[in-house]
Amino acid sequence: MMRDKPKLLVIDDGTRHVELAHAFLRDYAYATRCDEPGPCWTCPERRGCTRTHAHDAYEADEALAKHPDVDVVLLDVAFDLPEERLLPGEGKLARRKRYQGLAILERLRRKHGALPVVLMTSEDAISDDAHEVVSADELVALAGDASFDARALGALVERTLARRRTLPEGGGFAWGDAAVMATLRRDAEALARTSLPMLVLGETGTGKSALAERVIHPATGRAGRFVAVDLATLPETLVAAELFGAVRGAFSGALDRRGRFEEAHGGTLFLDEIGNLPFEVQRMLLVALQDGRITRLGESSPRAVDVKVVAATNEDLVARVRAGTFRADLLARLNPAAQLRMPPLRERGEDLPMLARALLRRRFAAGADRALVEHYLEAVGAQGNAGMPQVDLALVERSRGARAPAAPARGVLFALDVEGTRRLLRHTFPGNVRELELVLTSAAVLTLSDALDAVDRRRGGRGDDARVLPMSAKLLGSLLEQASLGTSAHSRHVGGRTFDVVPSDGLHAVARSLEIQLYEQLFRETEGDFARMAGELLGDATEAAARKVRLRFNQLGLRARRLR
Amino acid sequence: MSKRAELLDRLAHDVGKYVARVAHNVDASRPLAPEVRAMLCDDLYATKDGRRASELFEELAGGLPASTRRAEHIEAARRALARIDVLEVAVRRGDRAAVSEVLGAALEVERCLVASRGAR
Repeated sequence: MMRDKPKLLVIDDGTRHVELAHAFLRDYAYATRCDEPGPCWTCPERRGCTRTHAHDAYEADEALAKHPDVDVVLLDVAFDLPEERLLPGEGKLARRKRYQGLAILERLRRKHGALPVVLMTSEDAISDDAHEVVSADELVALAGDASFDARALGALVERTLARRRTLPEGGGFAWGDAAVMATLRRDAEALARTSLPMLVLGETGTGKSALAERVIHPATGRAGRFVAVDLATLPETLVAAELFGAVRGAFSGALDRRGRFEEAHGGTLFLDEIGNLPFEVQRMLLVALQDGRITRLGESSPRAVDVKVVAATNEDLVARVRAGTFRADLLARLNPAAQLRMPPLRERGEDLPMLARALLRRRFAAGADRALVEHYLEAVGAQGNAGMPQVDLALVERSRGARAPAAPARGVLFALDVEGTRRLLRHTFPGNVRELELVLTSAAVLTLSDALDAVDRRRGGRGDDARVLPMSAKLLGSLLEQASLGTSAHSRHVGGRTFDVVPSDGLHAVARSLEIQLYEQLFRETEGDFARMAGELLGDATEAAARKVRLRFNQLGLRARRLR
Repeated sequence: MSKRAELLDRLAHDVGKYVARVAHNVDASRPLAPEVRAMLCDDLYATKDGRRASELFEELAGGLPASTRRAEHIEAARRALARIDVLEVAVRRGDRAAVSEVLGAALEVERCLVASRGAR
């Protein structure tokens, strides 16, 4: 079973483009405004039907609400429509009609983010301003002569889809240049095309689930869904029913339900944290892998399932087998000889700048984060804020001779100075790519919020100059420190107390982390009595000693109100 | 953009490109599927507002200066459109030779009108 056809939405005031597409591009599905199943070209009502495509921006909204899975939009530029069907805008009516497609493009970007668009026009048919907007948008292609040549148009659609797959905003996997990643990519894509189960190993946060969803599943070419199950979050008693389903009465409160295996039929089932699979369920998984059949709990007849299984863990499964908590036959069935290993970030340091940019771009391509950027651009009155805003990151590694970083054509650039870049590049990232993403996103959001505050107080920059935002090295350093507290910590028992020791890039950071933990513990034990804390720490419970302890408490960034 | 240039652009796009739409996408030596033949008839004999492509051509060409109107590319496009009109009944009937001929003529119309725009 092959993957579903990519879905196209045609937005055109006339019918020429949709007729051409339906007649000659039948390898695609189409987003129509119709409830009838099947393609338009098999429909007896085809002739004169107006539901085949969207004729204006409002019908495009309707079609996209009905088909949120549209892959590419074919968008005409000139729309000869009555004014009430045009998007509101300034300028002469004739000009608004002539460039209505560009207004629709801007609206698509605002409402639907990184949606690839093929503009059914040529370069010389749009104004210089529009050309600037279009050429800065990596997900827009101009059809030119391909507008009326189905074969060329099909090739352009495929190129646009391929382009989207490589972009961070489109969910592209950031491979980087490290040799270890090139090998991983080759192996992952090759193994994905087989029916063999796959085992992905790697530390927490290295991107095992991203590899499964964005690389392995697409490479399988399978039409079914990608279904992920995090076995670490499921109560042991529910794991079997979750994976294999159940019938009414199988156990107390059981209802008829499909399991994740059946949901993933024809697709990929990603079993994260496979090491957490209860021993008794391991046998059931083994049978499913061996026979391609599962049995719902409480049912006697097995059901055939066609599922590509990808399992992942950060545990040493061989050690678990030796300890008797993981079945040797299940491990053997998971094809450990061809296991994939996601390297920790510290082993691909050369990729860190690329990853930092890619993660930030993807994060700000959608949702609340993108809305924040749009809000900022509007607040500072930046030109070039039309369409999808882009976010980029500049790392300045040398203070001398470095060129001033420039913002992307539309959007903002976060600029990290030499000190900030040094901190970022020297950090060990025990939480790997996930830690990098969280730290950078937090730093970017806080930087944007500060900039917005400044604008509100009429102290910030205005216009295009305000699109380059310096990211504070101090802020980044603080976030890196905080992030490390939650990752890769190991406990140490000292003097009856337990501390999480977090590997860091310097002894100072380790010592500071321990000191913070000590102050937090003492604060809670003494219920915030600084004199008693001073007694514990200094053997002196006087008022002067308490003041010293309180001062240090504040210097460490601790706040009494938050700890109480 | 001058009025002359604008009219030449519209001739190339609204007449040339549309007339040749089907011709670009089919094999002229094979019979056309009925819905594709219907598209071809619309493009040639019932374009926007239900007019023939040749009528739209004359309307636009009529706005050109006399010297441009008599230029070789424009005259050649006019002759090809006339051949297309003569064959309407046979094309609507699905006559393979007629369809094949109008497909060739349609490409000729497009080539001439695009060339006339380039020659401005």
